[in-house]
Amino acid sequence: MIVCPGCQHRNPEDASECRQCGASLAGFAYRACPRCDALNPPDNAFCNRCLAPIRTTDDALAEPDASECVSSFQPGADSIPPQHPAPPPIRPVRDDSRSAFRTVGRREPDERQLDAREDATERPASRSEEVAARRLPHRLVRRDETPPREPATDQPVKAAFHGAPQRWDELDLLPIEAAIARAHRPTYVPPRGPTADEEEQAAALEQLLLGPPPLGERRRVHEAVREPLPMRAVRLLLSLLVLAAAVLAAIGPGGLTGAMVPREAALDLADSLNSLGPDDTVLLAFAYSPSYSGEMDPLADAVIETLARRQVAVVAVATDPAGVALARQRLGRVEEIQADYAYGTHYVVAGYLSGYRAGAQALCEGWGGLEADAVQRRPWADLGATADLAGAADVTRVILLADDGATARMWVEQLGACLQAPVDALVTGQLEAPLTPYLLSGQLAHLVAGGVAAGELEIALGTRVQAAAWADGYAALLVILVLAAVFANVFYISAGPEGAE
Amino acid sequence: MNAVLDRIAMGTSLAAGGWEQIGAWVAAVITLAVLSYAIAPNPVAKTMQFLLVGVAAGYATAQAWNLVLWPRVQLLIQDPASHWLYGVYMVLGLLLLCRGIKPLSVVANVPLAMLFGGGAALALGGALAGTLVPQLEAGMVSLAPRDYGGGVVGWAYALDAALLLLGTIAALAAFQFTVTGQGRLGRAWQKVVDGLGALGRAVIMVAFGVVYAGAMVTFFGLLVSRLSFLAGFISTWIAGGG
Repeated sequence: MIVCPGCQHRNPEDASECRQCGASLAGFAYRACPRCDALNPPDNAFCNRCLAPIRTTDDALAEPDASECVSSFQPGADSIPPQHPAPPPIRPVRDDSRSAFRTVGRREPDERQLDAREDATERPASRSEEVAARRLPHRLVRRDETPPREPATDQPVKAAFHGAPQRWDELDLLPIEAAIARAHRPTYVPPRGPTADEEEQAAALEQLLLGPPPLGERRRVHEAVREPLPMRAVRLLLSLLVLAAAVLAAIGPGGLTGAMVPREAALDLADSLNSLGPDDTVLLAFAYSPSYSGEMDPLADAVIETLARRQVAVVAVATDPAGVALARQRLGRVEEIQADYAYGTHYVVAGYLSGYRAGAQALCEGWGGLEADAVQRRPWADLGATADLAGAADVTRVILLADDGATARMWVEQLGACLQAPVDALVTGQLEAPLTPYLLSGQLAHLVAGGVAAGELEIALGTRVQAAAWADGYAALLVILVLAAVFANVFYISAGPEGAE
Repeated sequence: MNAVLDRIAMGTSLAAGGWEQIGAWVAAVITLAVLSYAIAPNPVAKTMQFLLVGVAAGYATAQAWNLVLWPRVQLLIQDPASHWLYGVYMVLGLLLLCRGIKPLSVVANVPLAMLFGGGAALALGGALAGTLVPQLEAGMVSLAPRDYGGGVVGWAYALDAALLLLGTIAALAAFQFTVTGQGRLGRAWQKVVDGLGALGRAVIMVAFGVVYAGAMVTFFGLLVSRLSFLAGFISTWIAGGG
């Protein structure tokens, strides 16, 4: 194995140039690893393959005096050890210049190449050569080679080999030809096992990591434990109870529906909607996905039925791609129930506002860049519901149907400044808490969440009962949660901290 | 029992139409397949998840073409002088596609820069004007009972405002992680901040509990809606309507 002096890539012994950076491997001297015989660059303190130390003296790492090293290094033919074929004279030089590396990167420096060296130094350096030049601080050149140009800067020239001795063979270096042509290639010696000292150090480290920590801290070892059978049984029982509550809500008798009393939020919104008339126009924003239809559709139906009953014009927009279909579905369903409620005259599906924030912001001017409605492709002036309006800014009220907190906030933030109409938010149950600050600050006129509040809104508005029919299930869920909380806390307190763990 | 069946039938949208019946069957099968995940992870539920993602992506793409791109292309072709700006948008959109072509990928930086720049400006401006400033204003509440009409009601509102203010400051103090102050005054101030932080963490825990409860109600409602759909489907099927 030959380690590239430029990029430290491990090349096979038949390689004449580096297979990673492309630099020539000839023209350098290498140091053979005493353990595995890999040919390493002279600067390497450890073998690139087996990590064995390949520097023989401690002073090899010392920084030498540059002038001393360069001037005192006088290799000669008599210094060649007899067991190696005669290598060409080697002279270490320091070379930071890019042009000098170009010389290094070439193949065997025959006469023609040496003659053309000056020309070669003028060609632009390739990327791999530049990388290698940065990584290779110094090199060896043959004595018969034309020495590279001196660096342009005044930086001191350093020796190639720290603490370079007088003779190159004392450096234990070999040119590549001699290294490859060596008669005997020792076999690879696998790394030795740990010594007694290393074993002792490893045991100490293990004790430090896994032993009790100092200063009386509690030991924190997280072990994967399987939950005991009673706890798994309790968990399964809770799941089954919740499922039973859901089944009760779905097919139960709905006995608690009549006992449901709307809270203030639902009553306020109902009063507000019931105050609207045929001269008013409501912008209905469908910003929820079909995944939340189960919770949002009852809210949307209750509001739309009320608006239809009061002959309020509705303009539906969507910031969710599926919102247009949802708007058509919910509004069309009310149209089926109420015969005098017609598309174009009473309600319009404006379309999809692309661009998220930009789409919502666009509603501040006109109809958000929408040239016509999404159903009949008619201009706004031809539709009865929007004939008298210049844009969304003229609507009486904005009702937002959202299942996502970020989307709801986006609507409030982007439209709060430009639309003067009050904004009502009908959202999923999980958004009630995050949006409450907007209600308290007055940015939202009304906030009604799904779940139980949806049923309350249906009762307050006097519309068809959908979510309110699930009152039995919600009551059962409440009982289950209260009992679970009580039992869990009683168990926790009675078991104490150790038992709870 | 009839009342129950009537309510179930009202809660579902099974019409007599052939396509809607097929759709109802597909919806019922997919619902059961997805719910089977509650028993154990299985390939059918996994397939339905992939189906959901694929259908959502395909639907969004179709909607974007039908509702956004194609109407504007038509306008651009019919009246280029009035709607030339749509042409600019189209070109920017096409430039965005160059991101996948390595030699031309640099030109995609233009629409991307406009996209991110515009989006960031809208988000920042909206957050400042729509959230930060209004919420700061809403946090500046009067603690004087006379501002709320006086009497018991005024005191109740004042107490409510005080709790709001205290909760806000305590929640902010919960995120105070600076080093302990030096000197007697610094240590005293640090104790005040630590106490407020402990109260703030309790406030935050209550808020998290409310959000978690809301999420649970939401998903319970979704489960109930799917079970209602299945119950209505099965009852209609048994009655011979399916």
